[in-house]
Amino acid sequence: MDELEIQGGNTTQALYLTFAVGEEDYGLEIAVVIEIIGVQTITEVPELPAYIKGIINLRGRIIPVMDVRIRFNKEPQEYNDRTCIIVVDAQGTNIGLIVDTVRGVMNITDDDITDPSSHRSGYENRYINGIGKTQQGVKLLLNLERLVADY
Amino acid sequence: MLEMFIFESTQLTERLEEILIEGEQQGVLGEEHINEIFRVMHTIKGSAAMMEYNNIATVGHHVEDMFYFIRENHDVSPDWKIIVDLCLESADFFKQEVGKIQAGQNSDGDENALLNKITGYMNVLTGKEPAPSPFAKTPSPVAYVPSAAAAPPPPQEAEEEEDEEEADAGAPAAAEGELCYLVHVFFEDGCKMENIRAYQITNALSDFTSRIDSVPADLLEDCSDEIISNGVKLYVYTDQTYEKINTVVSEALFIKTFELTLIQGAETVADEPGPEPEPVAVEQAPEPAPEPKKAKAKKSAAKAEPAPEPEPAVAAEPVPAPAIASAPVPAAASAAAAPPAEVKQSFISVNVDKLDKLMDLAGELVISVAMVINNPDLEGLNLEQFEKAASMLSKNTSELQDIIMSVRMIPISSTFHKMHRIVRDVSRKLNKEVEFVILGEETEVDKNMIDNLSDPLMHIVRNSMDHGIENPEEREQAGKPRVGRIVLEARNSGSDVIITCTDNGRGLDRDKILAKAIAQGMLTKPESEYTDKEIYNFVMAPGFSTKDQVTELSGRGVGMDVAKKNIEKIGGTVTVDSTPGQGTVNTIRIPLTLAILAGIEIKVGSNFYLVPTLNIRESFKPQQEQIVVDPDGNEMILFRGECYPIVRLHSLFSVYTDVTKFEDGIMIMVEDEGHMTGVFADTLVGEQQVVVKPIPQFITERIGQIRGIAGCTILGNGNISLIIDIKSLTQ
Repeated sequence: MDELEIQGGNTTQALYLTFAVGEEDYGLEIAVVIEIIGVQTITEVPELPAYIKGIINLRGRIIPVMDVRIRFNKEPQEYNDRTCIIVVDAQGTNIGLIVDTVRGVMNITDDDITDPSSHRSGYENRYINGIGKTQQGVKLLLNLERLVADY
Repeated sequence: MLEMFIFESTQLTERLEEILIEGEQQGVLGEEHINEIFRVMHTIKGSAAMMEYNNIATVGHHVEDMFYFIRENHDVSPDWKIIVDLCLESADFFKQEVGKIQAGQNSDGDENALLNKITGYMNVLTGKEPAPSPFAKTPSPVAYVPSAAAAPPPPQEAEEEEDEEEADAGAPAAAEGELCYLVHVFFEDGCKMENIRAYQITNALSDFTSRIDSVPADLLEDCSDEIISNGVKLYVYTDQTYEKINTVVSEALFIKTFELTLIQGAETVADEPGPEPEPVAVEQAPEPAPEPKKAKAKKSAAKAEPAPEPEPAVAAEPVPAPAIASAPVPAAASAAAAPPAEVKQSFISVNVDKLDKLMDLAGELVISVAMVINNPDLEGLNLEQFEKAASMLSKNTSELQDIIMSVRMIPISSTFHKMHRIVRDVSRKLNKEVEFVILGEETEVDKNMIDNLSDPLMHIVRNSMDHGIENPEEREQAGKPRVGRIVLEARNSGSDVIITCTDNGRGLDRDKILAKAIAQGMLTKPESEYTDKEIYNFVMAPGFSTKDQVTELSGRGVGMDVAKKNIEKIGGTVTVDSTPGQGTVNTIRIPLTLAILAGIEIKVGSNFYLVPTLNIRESFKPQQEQIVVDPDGNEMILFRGECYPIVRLHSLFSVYTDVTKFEDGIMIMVEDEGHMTGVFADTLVGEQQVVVKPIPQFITERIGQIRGIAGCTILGNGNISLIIDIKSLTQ
């Protein structure tokens, strides 16, 4: 896992966990993140959509896991030792998000966040709240509720 | 708080019933029984009063009064039968009211009818004319075993339980001006919420006092610890007499000792250190007060001067100094009621959720230990010390897990003892004589099971009483002992608990049941194929009743059906067997615990599933000639001459596997409610005891119930396995 980097700033800012899925980097508000774990044995459950990979055992709690790559209609990829599961709390529901790799935690000030509609980048904007510009490049800030709730 | 009250009251009421029934069997309530009833009533009354359920409190109070009288007057010979009846009626009243409270309703039961009965009998006992509390007028001997010398002079007055008028009447002329009393109270050890209890005392006093100062000052703050160590001091400004205050304080609950002093003077005592708690009533007065002439001297003063002369209140500030009367009085009724050998409570009640979490955590620990010990990094290393430590660790963890499992198990005795009451009531109502025997009450069952067991048992016992046991005359004619016998027995059998209810009554009438079953169209095969046992088990069918008349107790044909449903809900079975003229045996078989399921682990592709062992009839490698395919392509298996449908798990769950030919895999014959199906899987892995968990809500909310999946579980190696829902596969 990459080293954690925390950047300072004076204007309104929030901490984001950043991670990579495919070519892009995404950010998730740190408040919703419960923990980050490596890939574990995933138990398949029948009848689920392809991007819900199944369920995992998180210290005796059973939680579903979602493959964010497949969710974003990207090519599925074999999991490796960089693959991580980010366990998040989406309004009371715990769910694991499988991402390619976790980059770190950083501060992004409000000034550096722009409206996604100004970027016609072709990604599914409905999962994106905004785009954060940082020294490490552009981070797409995820709308977790929609990512988890939409079906 | 409310939950606590309900829990406590329910337990106490149950205990009360137990004592009463026990006493009734012996024909007399011994001193120990009376003391215990007294204690139970007192606690119920106290907590009900605190929660402001006045009807419960009043009933409790009256029953308490009655026993108080009996205990203090050894010469009266009360009719125990009536008393037990009255008490059981009161217990019913408590149950009914607590039930209402539990259901979120108001406790609005009318206690007056019951009160009239109790007071009515009290009058018989005392031989007095009806009065709200007749015995209060009876001069009672020393009630609160205080060191007699230290007791304040007019003992009766102080001991009155319900005596407002009495106290007023008996007291010397009340004063005109105000007095200041110091009340120093210590509560019983472990009575909890000392500050609230102290506050209740101030409340009780506030009706006729102009002002009360307390140390600690704000009793509604959490100052229990301080009160435990230093007691609570109340400075009471009032024009009431010493006795009056004494009475009011002594009526308060959970007081270990208290000391009532009339004080005058001008200095404040607010800061003086409080005397150490004294278990026995030893006189003690404010330490640093100027005059050193307290203790004995003062006490004699108290004796000499029972009713202190009213003195005009001197100061607004609490004042110490030459106390006129210092009368330590050992606690009120509760303390007096406690028998000398009180057994310390060695139980605590714990929320089941916490136990579940603990169990999860222990399971997790076992897995973590396995992960450490079998860590691939250690492979090939010669680690003698590590191995030793590791085996110690595994041993301790598995022991821990066992103990946590056992915590959920509680003995079945409380459920069994409830049946005493049923037997008693029914035998009275039907004029039958029955001896009720309980065996194996120490058998332990999961808490959830116990909760679901008492209703079915009640039905079964009631049925045995009503249908099974004959009238005494009938029994004598049949050459049987006059007194019938019902035996309730529990015992362990593997991972099941077997509960039997055996009566030596007339037995079931095979022909009558069969005729009725035919009349109701219940037969599913030719009459001649039914065994006796199958016929007897018709009595469990919905709506079945051989009774021609519906009585209050049974005959609607609902009871046994409901009992059966309830037992099945907790994964158990009920069967009935009978020998005509000899009696009937009802057998309930329940698993030890619901949370734990025995299953056979099977593998399909890379996935593991669990099939409940209970449903499995047989498993075998199918031969090609056993497979039948109908023109629609439906596959079926010939098993013991019958054709059953096949469910291929890999296609049902869309799992990739190399094993698609029947000869390569394994066929598991499963059955649910008489429907048999062949389940095809790759291999059998082994047997597992698992803890059942639901599929995460996130998934069920979206796609609903998954066909073929009943839940999931975490296996010993930390992996999740899905539990196969046999019911949905066999339909």
